[in-house]
Amino acid sequence: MASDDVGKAIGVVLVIGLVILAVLTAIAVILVAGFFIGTGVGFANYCKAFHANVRLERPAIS
Amino acid sequence: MSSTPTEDPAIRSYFFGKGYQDLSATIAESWQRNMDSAKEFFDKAPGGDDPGELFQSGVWIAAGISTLIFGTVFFAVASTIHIVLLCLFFLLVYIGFTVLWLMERAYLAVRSFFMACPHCYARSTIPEYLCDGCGAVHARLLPNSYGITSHICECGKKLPATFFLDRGHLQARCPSCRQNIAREHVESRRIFVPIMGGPSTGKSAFLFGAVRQLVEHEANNLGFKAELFDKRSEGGYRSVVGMLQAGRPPDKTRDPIPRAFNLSLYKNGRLAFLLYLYDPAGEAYQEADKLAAHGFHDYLSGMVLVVDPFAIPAVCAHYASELKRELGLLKPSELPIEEAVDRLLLTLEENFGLSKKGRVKQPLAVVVNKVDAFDLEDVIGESAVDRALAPAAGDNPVDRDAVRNKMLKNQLVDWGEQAFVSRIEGRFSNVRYFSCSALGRMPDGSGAEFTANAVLPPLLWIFGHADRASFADSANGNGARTAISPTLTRYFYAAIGVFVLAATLIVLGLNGHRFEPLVVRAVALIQELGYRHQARTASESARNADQAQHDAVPPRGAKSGGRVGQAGVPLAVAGSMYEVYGTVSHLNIRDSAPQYRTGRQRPRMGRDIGNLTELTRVRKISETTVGRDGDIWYEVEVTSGRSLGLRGWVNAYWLRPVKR
Repeated sequence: MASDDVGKAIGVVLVIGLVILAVLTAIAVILVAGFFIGTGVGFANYCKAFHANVRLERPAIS
Repeated sequence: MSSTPTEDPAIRSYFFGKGYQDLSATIAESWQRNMDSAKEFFDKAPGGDDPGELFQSGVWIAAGISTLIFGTVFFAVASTIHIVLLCLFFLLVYIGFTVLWLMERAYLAVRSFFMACPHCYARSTIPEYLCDGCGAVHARLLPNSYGITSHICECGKKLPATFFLDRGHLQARCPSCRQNIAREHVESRRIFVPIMGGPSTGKSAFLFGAVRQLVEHEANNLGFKAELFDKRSEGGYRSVVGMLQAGRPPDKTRDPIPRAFNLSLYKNGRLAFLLYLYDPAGEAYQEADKLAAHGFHDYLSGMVLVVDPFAIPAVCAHYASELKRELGLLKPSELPIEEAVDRLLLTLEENFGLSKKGRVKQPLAVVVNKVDAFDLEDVIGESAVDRALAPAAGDNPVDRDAVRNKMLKNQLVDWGEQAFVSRIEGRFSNVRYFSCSALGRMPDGSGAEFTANAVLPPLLWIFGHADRASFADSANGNGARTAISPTLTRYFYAAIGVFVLAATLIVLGLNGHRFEPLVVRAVALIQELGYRHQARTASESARNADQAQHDAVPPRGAKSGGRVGQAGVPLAVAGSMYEVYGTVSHLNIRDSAPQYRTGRQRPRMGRDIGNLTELTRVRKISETTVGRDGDIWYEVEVTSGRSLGLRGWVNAYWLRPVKR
């Protein structure tokens, strides 16, 4: 009997551990994905802004 | 084109305006785009209760939040890098701009290039330039915020903004009187000489007589080709020379503020000098106000003061009877000679920065004119100089100019003009006296041609001060100097070299090269070369000394001490006495590591060199001169190092322990 209890306890711990691991992995994935999305969007926006505004020439005659 | 524009009609350089605007616009737009992207993500969230919609909402909201957080972080980092890189790049551009600007300024200063307006005498560093596309006036066509090497006119034409890129080909105009001026009025070596004197002293006859001699004869002798610079000068010259050839004196000059008479001197087909000769009406010297308008005093090279001897009371008294007959033809000047000088000095003090007790540094040629009248030629003319030189003939050569100078000066004093002589000698640093006949003979209405006599030497003397090399023998000492000496030119080019080198090093340093280590290594290399030289010299000295030792008397310590300075000879234990043969400089203990042993292990350099240094403290106890060759034995004591058990080699020729 005692060995059954121990087995249950181990199982519960394993399940909880797996759940925590899954949650942490999900958070990490979200964070990494968020990082790539955020920086990607930021990079694209900066490039667009640079391309739209920077002209290495004298200003046009007004 | 009636007024000078306050702003150049050019487009400002990218590096002085638009670059910063671009940066600012990029940053602003990037920020705005990030915000728009985040809003777009948030707006895409469906917002329903359905689990699928909830999931989609979560994804879009997470994307929006990610954009807000990470996008902003990226924006901050990218903006910072952008700002830093742009500033570094612009800094390089500004350094280049500064170097070019300084080089141009230095070059213009060394070559004495500046704008001297022949019309209004205005002086400025550069004139205004007209665009060769649209004629717009560019007041500051220099390396500045409108461009470093070139400016872009509003018409789109690219204009060179520096002397080095042939800016001078553009039409220039005076910023003061707005009259067009030729390139040579800015970019050439110029000599400015006003012909001064009261009315009827013969200034115009002197000027044109001298120019005529220069054009027709003397320029060729000096290796130049003389040409009248412009049509106006040519017209005036032809007119006056025509009158002189017809036996008529030049008409009276009316203009108290004259335009420069320009004469070009070419050498080897290139313009060597542009002469500016000013002939103001004599009436200008009767009123100080009119003299104040003579702006050329700001930059003149020398002055000619024409003196009418018949304006001197003593001369008039001496020739009273002759003057009664010839008064109409001679037309003596009515202005006392010292008054012209007084007014000139007053004008220079009030308008041209001469201090009350200051001296005018430019050379002044005092020319006594009209020596053709009566017997003046025999008194102050060249025949008088010949007579004064005659006693010296056969002896040492006598300086004719010095004799003439002294004779004229003394004669002016004899005529009672001591005050005049004192005044000019006191207020002008470099004065020389000349005599001449600007017409060559007394006017007699005969119609025979006037040919000036001895009018050129005063001008050549002044030219010689402006450039001694080109007008050899004309300056005749007296502090003559070269306007641009070859040495000065060499210094200038050397300065440019240093500039370029410094700029290169700075640029290399800014570009991330290891600038500082390079300098350190260069210094170390120089030191190393010095050390090697010292070592070589010392080694040679030692070899020579060794050889001398062989030839000399065997020294006293030879047997017991042996020869030192050779490997394997131990000595110099602290507290011991030694007898050393040699000179003081040989009493040093060598402190280099390879010659140093503790007996057990090689000591570490840093700490133990200090100990070795202590060992070198040798104390001279006594000295004995060896009679035969004058060399000296020293008895020395090594005062430290024993406790550490040090041994080493003494760099002396012979050494012997002394037993007490």
